[in-house]
Amino acid sequence: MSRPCDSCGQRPAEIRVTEVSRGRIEERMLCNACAAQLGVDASSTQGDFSVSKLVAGMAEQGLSDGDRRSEETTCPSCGLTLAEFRESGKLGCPDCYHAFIRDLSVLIRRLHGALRHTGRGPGERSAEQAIRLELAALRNQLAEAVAKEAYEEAARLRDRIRELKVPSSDHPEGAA
Amino acid sequence: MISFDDMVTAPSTWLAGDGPHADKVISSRARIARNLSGYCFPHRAKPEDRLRLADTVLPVLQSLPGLRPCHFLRLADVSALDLEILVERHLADSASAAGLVGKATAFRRDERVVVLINAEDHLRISGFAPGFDLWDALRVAKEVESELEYYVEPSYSEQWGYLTSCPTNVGTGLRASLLVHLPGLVLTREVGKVMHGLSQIGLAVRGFRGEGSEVVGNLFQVSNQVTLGKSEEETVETVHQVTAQLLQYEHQAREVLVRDAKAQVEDKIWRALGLLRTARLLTTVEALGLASAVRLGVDLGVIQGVDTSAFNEMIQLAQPAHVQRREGEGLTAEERDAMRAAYVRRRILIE
Repeated sequence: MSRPCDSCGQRPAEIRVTEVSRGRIEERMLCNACAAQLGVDASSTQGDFSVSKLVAGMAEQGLSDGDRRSEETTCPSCGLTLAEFRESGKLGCPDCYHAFIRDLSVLIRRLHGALRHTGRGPGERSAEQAIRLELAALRNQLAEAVAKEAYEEAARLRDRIRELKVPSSDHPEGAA
Repeated sequence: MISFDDMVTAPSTWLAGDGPHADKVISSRARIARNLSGYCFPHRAKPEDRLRLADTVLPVLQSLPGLRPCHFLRLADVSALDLEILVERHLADSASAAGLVGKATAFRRDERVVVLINAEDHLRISGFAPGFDLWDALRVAKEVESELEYYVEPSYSEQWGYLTSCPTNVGTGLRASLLVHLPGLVLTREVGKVMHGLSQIGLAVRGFRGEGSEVVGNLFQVSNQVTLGKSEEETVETVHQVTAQLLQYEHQAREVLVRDAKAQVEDKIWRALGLLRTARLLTTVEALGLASAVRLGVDLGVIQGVDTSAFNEMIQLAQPAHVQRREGEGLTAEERDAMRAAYVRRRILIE
C-alpha cells in the first residue's frame, strides 16, 4: 500500500479524502500533509458537526488574538460583555451585532464565508421565489386532484404548471 | 381543544410516506428564525419580558390564515409528558421545566407548519412536507412568515440580514433540511465518507436524533450550514441538488448490496421482519433499526405485503413519550419496551 499521494505525488498516501463540489463527489488518496492543507484532520475519522462547539471554539482561538481589553466591551442595550459572548457563542439582543461588530465580522466570515446578506429583506418579494412557491402549491393540488380522480381539474393544473415553469430551470427533479 | 390522547395514535401528516422520492426521503423541512426588535433574545430576556413577547405575538398568530386551523399552547401549561410528545413531533424545542416561562407553540392542526415562541430565537417558523419537496416546506413556512411581517417588525440589518441569537443563523435565518433514509450507504460503510464530503461544502449531516453521533434507523438529516450571503432560493437549491446526488449514491450502494451480498442482505431483512413480529421487548432504537431493514426489504422488492408507511409512522409513534401516553403513565422503561413491542407486532402484522 505505498501508493503516492494524489496531490504532491511524493509522500505515501495515507488518507482517503472525499470532496464534493458542484454536485460531484471526487475521491483522492492524500498524504497527511496535503490533507491537512485541505483542512482535513487525519486524526479524526469523522467531522464534528456541533455548530455551538464551532462557535465557542472559534471564539476562543480566532478572537483572542485581538485586544485583550476588548473583553470588557459591553452591549449598551442588554449589557452582554464580549467575554460572555465568547463563552456561550450566543448574542444577547439584536444590538449586540453593532456592539461587537469587529469580533463578529471575523467569526461570521469564518462561519459563512461572507460578510453581507444577499437575500431579501422584510417586505420584499423575489419574483423567482414567488413562482417556485406557487409551483410547489400547484404540484400539491395536482397530486390531490389525481388522487380524487378529478381529471379535468388535474389537466387544468398541469397546464398552469407548464405555463409557470421557471425559465432558468436546470432544477433536477431528484435522483433516479 | 387539543387532545394528546388522539395525537399519539397517528403521526404528523408530513410523515405520511408520500411525496417525491418517498422511498429514500422521509420528509422536508424549512425553518426560518426571526426576532423582534426591542427585546433581548430569549435566553437573555427576563421571564416577564419573555411573557410580554408571547402576549404580543400569540394573538397575532391566532389571526393568521396560514396557521388555521391552529393549536396554541403555552409550554408552562403542558404536563412534562405532553411536552415530550410535542418535542418528539417537532412541535416544541426541548426545554427544562425551569425555563418554560413565556415559551409557547402555535401549529396548524395538520402539523405542516409550526411557530415556536421564545425558543432559541423569538420566533422559529418551520414548514414541513412529506418526501423530497423543500420548496413545498418553504412555501408553508413563508406563508406564515409573510403574513406575520404585517404585524411585527423583525430585527433586520442591511449588512447582516435577519439578526439571530446565534450568529450561525444570521442572514436569511433559513435552515433547509431533509430527513433521508440511507441503509445502503450504512451497510456498505460508505456513509462516513459521504458525510465528510458534505461537511466540506457547507452542509451538515446529523443522525436522526440531532446533535449526537448516534444513528437511529439509518436516518440522517441533511441541512445547510451557511445562512449569510446566499438567498433563500440558493440555499434550497443547494440542499436539494446535493441531496439528489446523495440519493444517487444511496441508489448505487443498494445496487452493490444486491449484486455482491444478496444472501446476507436478504437474511438481514428477513431476520429483522421476524424480530419485529415476535420480539417481546423493543427499545426505540432497536425498533427503528429493524424497521429500517424491513423498509429496505420492501424498497428492494425482497418483501411484499408489509405496509411501507409503518416505518415512517414508527419514527414518531415508537418514541418513548408516545408509547407512555398511549399505554398509561408511570411505566418503567421495561414495561414501555414491552408495550412498544406489542404496538410494533400489531402494526407490522397488518398486511
